Amino acid sequence: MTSEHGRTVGITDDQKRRFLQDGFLKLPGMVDSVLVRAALRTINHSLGYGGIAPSVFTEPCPDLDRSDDIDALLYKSPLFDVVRQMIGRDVRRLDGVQIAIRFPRDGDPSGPIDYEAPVERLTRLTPHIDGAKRMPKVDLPTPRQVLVGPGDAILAHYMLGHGVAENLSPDIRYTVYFRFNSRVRDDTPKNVTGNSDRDVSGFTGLLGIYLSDVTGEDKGNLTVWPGSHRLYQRYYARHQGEAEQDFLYPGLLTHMWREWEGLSDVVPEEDR
Amino acid sequence: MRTMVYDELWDDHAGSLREEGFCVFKGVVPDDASGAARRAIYSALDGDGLDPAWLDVYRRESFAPQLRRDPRILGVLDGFSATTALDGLFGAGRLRKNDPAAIRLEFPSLPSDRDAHVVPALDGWIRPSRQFPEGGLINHTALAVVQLTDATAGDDGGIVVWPGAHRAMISFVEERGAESLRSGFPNIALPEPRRIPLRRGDLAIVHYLTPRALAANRGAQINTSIHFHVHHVDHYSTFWNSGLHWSAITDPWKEWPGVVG
Repeated sequence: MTSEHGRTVGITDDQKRRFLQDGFLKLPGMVDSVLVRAALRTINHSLGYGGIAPSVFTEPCPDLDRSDDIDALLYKSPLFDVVRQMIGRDVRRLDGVQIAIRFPRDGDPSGPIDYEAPVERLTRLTPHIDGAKRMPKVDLPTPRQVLVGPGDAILAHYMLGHGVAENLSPDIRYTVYFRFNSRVRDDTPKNVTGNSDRDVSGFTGLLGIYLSDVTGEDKGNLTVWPGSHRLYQRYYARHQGEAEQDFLYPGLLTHMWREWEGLSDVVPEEDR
Repeated sequence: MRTMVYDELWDDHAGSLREEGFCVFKGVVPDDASGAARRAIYSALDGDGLDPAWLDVYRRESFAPQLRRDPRILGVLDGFSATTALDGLFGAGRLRKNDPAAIRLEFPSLPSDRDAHVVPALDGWIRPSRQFPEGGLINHTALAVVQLTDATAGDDGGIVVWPGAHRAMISFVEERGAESLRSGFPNIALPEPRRIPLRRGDLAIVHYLTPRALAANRGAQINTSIHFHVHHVDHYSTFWNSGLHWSAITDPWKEWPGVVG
């Protein structure tokens, strides 16, 4: 699908270096408010007329896997172009879409919510890599809650350790996630030695698009451990057996920039 | 605050009620109270989910029914400004306390959905059934709507009234008798309906005899509000066979000392 918007956003070398360093890139003001509003209406309609499963482990809005209003966030904004600039022109979007809704956390009806210091809550939060059954044990940097508003986006490397902060605000937080693979995977042989129950194919990049106000902390923010992708890369380089046991493409964990064609100019020689 | 309400606003509100059958007190529910209510409601959606089989019941009666008497829901009327407004209308401490509230979540419809025609109604009609063969009417003093999310745009849904139609209803009752309302909504000439735009923290008061409806929400957000059927302490339960208390209909301002006074 080609981009249908009229805006072009060029990713600068400085932004690319920041992505290399941190493992994610904040992309403010990417999606027009009309598109944000249409997507939000579609999601809220799906919640109200399709119902909500009483479980945090069930993704809501399964009917929106093929929704024009949701796809428009990607294709009628500059975002698909941005992804192509970063991963490569022939990047492939994975099927489906994740409608990520974070409802407020309730407190004791008779009193105020337990507002402990944010830093204490964050130390309890542990990072994950999507799909990984076990996480490498590394000394992690201080986590950071990413502050974003409606129409902002975050592009993240697959290997970035991330989690979700509590939502102590009164309002629902809405995010739409798209996932992408580079064509490099098509030419990379799958590792068949691992335990099939634990195989994780992973993906190349994750794009989160925000539809609600997350400009303060503790609103269900995406929480990242900046630079953790490089720590995990080094870990898997030292523990290749673990990578081969758990992942279908272990080589892409240790050569993590091979899939990011658009960054080739800024990736240091030793990391290629 | 009370002085401000009486001196600067009171005449407008009382006049609006007399002439149009409703009024709006802007921003009388503090942000922390409306926030606590929203947090409780939305959190309940996550914890308990929304069973599609029950959606019609939730729409008709209340979403998150376990919260209908929760202090965070009933508490939205407890702040100083809201209390002052209600005391001013109905007399200090003259509203029955702790009646269950109805939590209204109006989810957006889609552009492709057909426009629903708003139909005027009064609350509390009971359709004739085996249990109530003559039908019935559970009237109350007023509908109080506390808005928890902004709904100011024309397509955001929310409450629609037929301004001034309460006077036609009063005339109808004077001519035909209150019992005639049991037969359903009377055939009277109505003005054009008007949607009441409300911001978070606003309190709308609608006289019981003012015809009303809910407009479709064509906005993006979940229009979230709490509806209270408020009863003056002198207003007895008026089930069809339980010692009918029609005086609130035949003498429609009897329970509104702040409006007639």
